[in-house]
Order: sequence, then structure tokens, then C-alpha cells
Amino acid sequence: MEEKNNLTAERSLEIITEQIARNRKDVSRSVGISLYVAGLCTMATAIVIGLGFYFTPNGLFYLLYIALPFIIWGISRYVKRNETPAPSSFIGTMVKKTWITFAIFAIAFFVFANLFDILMLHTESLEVYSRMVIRPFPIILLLMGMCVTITGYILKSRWLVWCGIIGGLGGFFWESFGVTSTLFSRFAASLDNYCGVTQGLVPGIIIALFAFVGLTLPGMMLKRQKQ
Amino acid sequence: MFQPLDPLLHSELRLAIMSLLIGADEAEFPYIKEQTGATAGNLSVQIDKLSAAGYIEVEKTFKSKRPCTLCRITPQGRQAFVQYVEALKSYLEVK
Repeated sequence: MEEKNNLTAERSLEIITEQIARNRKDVSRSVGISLYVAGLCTMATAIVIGLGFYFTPNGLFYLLYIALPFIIWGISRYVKRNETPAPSSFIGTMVKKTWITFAIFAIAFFVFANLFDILMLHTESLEVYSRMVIRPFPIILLLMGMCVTITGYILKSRWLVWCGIIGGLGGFFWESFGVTSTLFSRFAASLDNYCGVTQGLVPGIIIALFAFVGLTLPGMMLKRQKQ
Repeated sequence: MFQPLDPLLHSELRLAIMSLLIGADEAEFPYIKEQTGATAGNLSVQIDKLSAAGYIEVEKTFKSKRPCTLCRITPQGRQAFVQYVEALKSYLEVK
């Protein structure tokens, strides 16, 4: 771009529009990479935890979820190491704050739900526990879907909006109404024998599935669309 | 009636720099160079002109031991940009 002073009004307007659109594109690309990485990490972690539960009745696998935000952050930074950093802008800040809000709510709820469940398990009868137990995943999936949808609106990406709605609401209903438990009870010889599996493996599969729909897929599309 | 256009902003490269900075808190020199496609020398001259007019401020700093030039728009520059867009509207409305 060279210095030209004989600009027409249309050309001036075109330059302004172009530069603003470039900024949105840069933020979208950066968000696309982050969503893609977050989706793949979540899927991998969920599957590892699910399989861990399946093969060894060890609750320690669950702790991997606490490490997940750090794993995502580290890998995202590594993937973006060679990219010219996009300047912080109003759009970028809005997206960032949306996801920081999600992280605060999701981590706090996850910790609270687990502490509550552990306390109930050790103080109440199994019958009371089964009625009072808080399942964190439906809520976390719902929060995730909301954040993906809001990000989609900010970045004007229809893909993100729809993936957020399908991923969030789908994951929430699927998990909270025990669709998977029903399927297991129908297809498994005895639900009692599969109780441990339903508690451990299935949430992992559901999280992996909806992380793909809500994070990996829109991230992939955003990356491809904005290149 | 046409409103006068600010001659400092009525240049392709300077307008591109201002349009980039209007939506960002601050931007690094390599980023502006990449986005505008200008040469480093030309960009540097235009940034100096905008800086001298008080439209942008330039901060020379270091980022992991490497020199880094940060540009950000000033309130005066923001106001000039808004006035420029308003003036531009009067041209487009007549057409």
C-alpha cells in the first residue's frame, strides 16, 4: 500500500471497512485455533478418563479434568508460537472475557459439585446420595454451549452459533435425562453390573462427543473459513 | 454541502493505519506492516507523520529482549477519525 492522496470517498470507505474486517478475521482465526485445540484436548482427556474408569475403578483419573484448562492453555500457546499476535481489540476482549467467565463458572461448579458429592457419599445412605448427587457435566456442557454461541454472535459466525446450540443443549439433555443410562439398561444384560460403567465411561463418551460438536468442529470451520 | 476532509487522514496508508488502530487497543509495528502491506520505510514515515500530529502515540519497548514498537491511537486521533468519517458521509450522501 503506497501513499496516495487522490482518494475517492468510496475508496476511503473501502479501506476503513477492509481494515475493520481484517481485525475481525484475525480474532476469528485465533479463536478458531483455540477452539480446535480445546476441543481435541477435551475429547482426549474425556476418553482417557472414561477408559481409566472402565479398566481401573480409580477415582484419581477424574483429577485430569482439573489439569485440562492448563493443558489447553499450554498447547494453544505452542500452536500459536509462530503467529504474529493479533492486537487486543474490543472484539478480542469480548471473546476473551466470555471464555474467562466460562472458566470461572465451570471450574467453581465442578469443584463444588464434586466436594458436595464426596460429602454426601460419606455421610448419607446410597439411596439419599443417588437422589441428591450433583452431576456437573450437564451444566458444564450447557455453559460451554452458551459460550460458543455468544462467541459465534460476536464473530458473526453462523457455524459457531449453531454448533454452540447443538453442542450445549444436546449435551445437557443427553446427560441430564440419562438417555445413556436408559440405553445401557436396555442393551446391557444387567444395569447393576454396569452401574460403575455408566458413572464413568459414558459421561466421558458424551463429553468427547459434544466437545467435538461444540468445540472441535466449529474451530475447524472457523480456521478454514477465515484463512 | 461538502465538509472538508482532514488531509492527514486522506491518504491510503495513513487511513489504513488509523482504521487498524481504531478497533485495537494497541498494535505492534510488524502487525501493521503485515496488514497494510506497506514497506517498513514508508510505514515508518507515515507513522511519524501521524505521531507528530498527535493522532497516535508510539512506544518503543522490548519484548523478550527484542525491540518492539507499539502504536496506539490517542483521543485526539479518535476524534479526528470520527470527524473524517462524518465528512465522508456527506460526500457519499450527495452521490
